Formats: sequence, structure tokens, C-alpha cells
Amino acid sequence: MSSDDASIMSRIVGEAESRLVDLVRALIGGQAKAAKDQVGMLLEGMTTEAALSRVAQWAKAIEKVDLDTLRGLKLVMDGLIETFRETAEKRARGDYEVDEFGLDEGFLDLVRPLFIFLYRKWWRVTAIGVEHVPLEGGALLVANHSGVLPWDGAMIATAMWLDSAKPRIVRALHLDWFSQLPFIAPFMVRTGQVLACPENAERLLRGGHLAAVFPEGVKGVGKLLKDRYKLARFGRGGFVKVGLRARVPIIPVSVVGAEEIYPNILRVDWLGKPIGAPYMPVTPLWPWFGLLGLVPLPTKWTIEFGKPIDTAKLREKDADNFLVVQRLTQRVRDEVQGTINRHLLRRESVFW
Amino acid sequence: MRVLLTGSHDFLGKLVLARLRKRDDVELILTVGPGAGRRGLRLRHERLALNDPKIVALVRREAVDTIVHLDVRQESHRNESDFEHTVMGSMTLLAAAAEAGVRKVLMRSTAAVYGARYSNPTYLDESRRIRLGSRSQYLRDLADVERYAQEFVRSHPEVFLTMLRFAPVIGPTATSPFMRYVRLEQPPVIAGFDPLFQLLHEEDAADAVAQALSADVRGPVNIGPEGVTPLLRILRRLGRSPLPIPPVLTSVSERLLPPLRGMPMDSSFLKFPCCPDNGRMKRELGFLPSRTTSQTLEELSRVF
Repeated sequence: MSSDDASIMSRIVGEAESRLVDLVRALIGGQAKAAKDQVGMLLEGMTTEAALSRVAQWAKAIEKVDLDTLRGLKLVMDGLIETFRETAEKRARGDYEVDEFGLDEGFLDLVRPLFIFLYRKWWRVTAIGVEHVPLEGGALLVANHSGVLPWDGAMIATAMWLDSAKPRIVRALHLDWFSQLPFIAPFMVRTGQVLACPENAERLLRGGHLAAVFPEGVKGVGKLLKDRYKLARFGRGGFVKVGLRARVPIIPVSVVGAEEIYPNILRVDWLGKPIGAPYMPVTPLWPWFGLLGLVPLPTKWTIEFGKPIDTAKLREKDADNFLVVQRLTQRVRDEVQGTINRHLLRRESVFW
Repeated sequence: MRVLLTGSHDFLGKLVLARLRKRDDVELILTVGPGAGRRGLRLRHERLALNDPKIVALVRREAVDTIVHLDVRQESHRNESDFEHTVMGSMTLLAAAAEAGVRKVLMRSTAAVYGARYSNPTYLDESRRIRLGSRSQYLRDLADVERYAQEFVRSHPEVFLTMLRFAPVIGPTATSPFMRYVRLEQPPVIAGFDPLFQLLHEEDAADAVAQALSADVRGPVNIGPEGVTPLLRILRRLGRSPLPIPPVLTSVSERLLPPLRGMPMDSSFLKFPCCPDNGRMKRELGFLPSRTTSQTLEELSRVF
């Protein structure tokens, strides 16, 4: 690098630095006082000087900074802070509504970007057959379950939000032990997930909601890596009974890719017991690397929505006929397994 | 209708009494309770403990055909006299009803008898078993009464006994456990939990009792409004500053920590949902509270 280049570089860096310093001054100073109140804890822990020196470090690290980018960034930041401040103020006043199962759409809007990031960038989900899901009224999505944490439910929901002709909110039914976990339990409720039990499922479906169930349950999420894509028993067919009673179509959903996000090598059930968990997974990263172990692997996912099984042809009282229920349960399970096998054959890499 | 009413000194009893006095089909209102009561046209008061066997003779003498039993105690520190009053008193009233050929008995209960559990469906209907081992003594008493009442419904089909299981009742005059909780300067909450609640306005609760007088229903009926709301939203709307308690060992801290000790409700209600399903109320009682949970909260937040 010639000395000329070096001086240009240092000028650019200096300029960028002063822009960034302005930006942070604007953020911390008068104009964004409200923002400071909201982001309070975060900024107050850090003095202005500390924040500035942090920014100066960033600026040095960036070799070339386009000033227009910075201006754009500032605009975006201002907008974000304004929205965040309004939302936070409204929430602090309790000025929001929830639906009959506690779904808080404002909150869902806040966390949805994370799901969209995971959907588009992290797992690069390909959704097939979304058109099989009715745009209105109750329907029951029945999917394979895996991945230790219920990310599959979140991605099915994101697929119905992004890729459906009319965005629909999916109400995933979850295992009851999530309801015991502090912070996770209210998060689940606010994002529209509901404890899995026949009463809740039937009420959701009769209310015209789109519900997702994972009949494998704990046997599914706690599956070991060596058993991946081998579907566990589909419970006792409770989901079929509910579907028949509520007279809604049952749609098999096959998720490929989720079974490798936390390669579960070992299940230590006795370690889970004291914390009320049904099992304690052991992956190459968990629990050895603490919270880092919670970062799922960026596998490539495919979610296929199958053809709906019309329950209108069956009678409501068939819900109490064990043989009919078993047959339908098996049919759904076979279809999910078949679709998974088809995708696995075609798949060349877990990650691409 | 010749009505015997208990609990007319309490907020709900007062509201129900006002409704009864306006009705043309009520010939006589006989209020019964430990203290003094109001008198008036078609209205008399008998100073009598509920567990006093003299009630049988009173019911027979006055040809009472309807008993509205609203006087159950829900104090956080329950003593022996509360037990005598709630459990023995309710049993005595039911015995009197059977003995004197009373046609209908309405009994006040609470949906809290189902208990708050993590595995609860979001809405609990009347077929759910009542929880006997609650940490709150008054809930254990009410569960006791409920169990006795269920037995009574089976053994006395000639009496229309309706147990009204109310969602948390709030309002400007209400003194329900939930109301006492939100009136605390810093109502404790369990960090990391935000259960859903239904809120029933006190006027709607009284309307439900009045409506139950006109409908013949045997057994328990949940009385709850449409809509639910998270606990933290209730506290924020009412301008309270919640005091978060760590989520570990709540059963221990409940006995030791001052903010939780003597709480109007046990801490399980601050963690898990216990919302009554109001389907039977709509179908068989033909009743729907005029306000939703949010409307009730809004109304209270203006006067709170």
C-alpha cells in the first residue's frame, strides 16, 4: 500500500468515525431521549464515552464506509427506535389485546423477523404444496417432530405466513412441560402456541383456526440422530379423533432437515428429571458449550404439505371407533414417512 | 318466589339483593346472616348463624322455595369459625333445603376450585375434577362444599341445586380474592410467568345469579366472560407495579416471604391458567356477561 493510499484510507476512516460519533450522539443525546428510556438498561450500563470508543473501534475495523450507507442506516435506526418506543410505551400501559388463547399479534410481529431470518437465511426452507392448506376455516396440520427444540413448528408457521396466498397464523400445539418453564411458557402463549390437549385442539379447530400437531410428541423431539426420519408412534390417534369431531381436513406435513439441527447423540433421561424435562439431550455442542449449544445447525429444510384428507366423508361418531381412527392415523403416518423418504433420496447434502 | 338470601352484607349479596327487590315474581326476601340487616317492603332479616339448625324451622315456617347462598368466606387466613361458616353452614342450608322441600338452591363457588396447573387446558369445563389439595385453606373448604353439593345433586334430584363457579370477580365494590390482590401496593408476580385470566364484572356476576333464578339447572355452571387477558396486562392497566418473585421454590417462599405470605391467592394462580369454560352458562343458563374481560378491565381502570 502506498503512502497516498494510506492517507486516503485514514481520511475516510476519520470521516466515517466522525459520522458514526454524530450518529451515536444523536442516539444518546436529546433527540432520542425517549429511545434512551426504552433501551434504557442497555445504554445506561454504558457511559457515552464507552459507547463512543466502541463505535470508534468499529469504524477502524471498517476499511471503507460509504457515507450514504451510514445515512441510510441512521434513517433506519431512527425509524426502528420510533416504532420500538411506541410499541414499548403501548405495552407498558397494557394497551394491547390477546385472542382467546392468549395470542398477542403485536408481539408476534416483533418476533417474526427472527423466524423469517431462520426461514430464509438459516435453513433456506423450501415449502411445497402450501396451496393444499385452505385459506380459511379450521384445518389440522399433522407433522413429524424432531430437533429437540420445537423449531419445526415455528418454521411450519412461518411457511404459512410467507408462502401462503393469504398469510395464516398457525397455532402449534405443544407438549405440556413447556408450560412449566419460566419465560418460555408465556413466550409460547403470546406467539399463539397452545398446550396440546383434546379440549384445546377441538376449540381451536371449531373456532376456524389452523392448528398444527406433532403426534410423535416427546418420542419425536427427543429422537436420537441414528433414528432420524424414522417416525415414532403417532400417539393413540388423538389428533384423528379431534379432526373428526371438529369436521376439518387433516393435512399431512413432512419436514426434512429439522432432524439434524441438534444432532442428538445421547439421551440422558435421569438428568432431565430434576428439571421436569422428559429427557436431557446430548449433542456435540450441548451441554458442553453452554448456550452456544442452543444454536441450531444451518441445515437445508424442505417442508411438504400433503393433500388434505377430507373428514366430511366420515361420520362424527367414527371418532369413537377405534378401528377407523387407527386406520386414518396409520394413513397419515405412512404419507408423512413416504414423503420424507422421497425427499431423503433426492437430497444430496444435509446442508445444501 | 320466596327467597332466602345469605351474604347480603357482602358486595355480591348487596348487588343481588337490589336485583331481587326489583323483581315482581319475588314475594319475600329473607336475608340470613350473623349481623344486622336491612328491612323493608317484602324484605326481612333473621340474625342467625348459617350452621344453626334453627334455619330448618325458619325455611319451613316461611315457606321458602328458593335459597340463594352467597355467603362463603374467601379469607387468606382462614380460621375455625370460617370453616364452621362456609362448610358447616353450606351443609346445614342444603339439609334445610332437602328437609323443607325447597325447589331451588343457588350456591356461590369459584372456578379456582379446579386449581391452576401447568397441564390445564386453556379453558376448564364443569366435567373437570375439582382439586381438593389446594394450598389455600379457603379453597380447600370450597372444594369440600363442592364435593358435598355434587353428592347432593345426585341424591336429591327433586331440588335444582346450581353451583355457580365464578371467574375472578372485580369491580369498584368487589372484595373477591383477586380484587384484594390487585389492590395490593405491589402485587407479587412470579418472574417468567404471565398466566391468562378472565375478569368478571361484579354487576355481571350479580346478573348471572339473577338469571340462574329463572333457569332450572342442576349441578355446576361456570360463570365467566368472553375473552382472556394476561396477568401483567391487568396489573399495568390498573397502574400497579408488580413485584417479581424468582420462579424457584415458590412453595417455600410463599410461606416465608412477606409479599407472598398472606397473599389472597396461592402462587400457582400466578403461574398457570385456570380459566372456566363458559359453554354451559351460555347453553343452559342462557346468559352472557354484558362485558368482555377487556371491557371489564377498561371500566375498572377508569375508577381504580
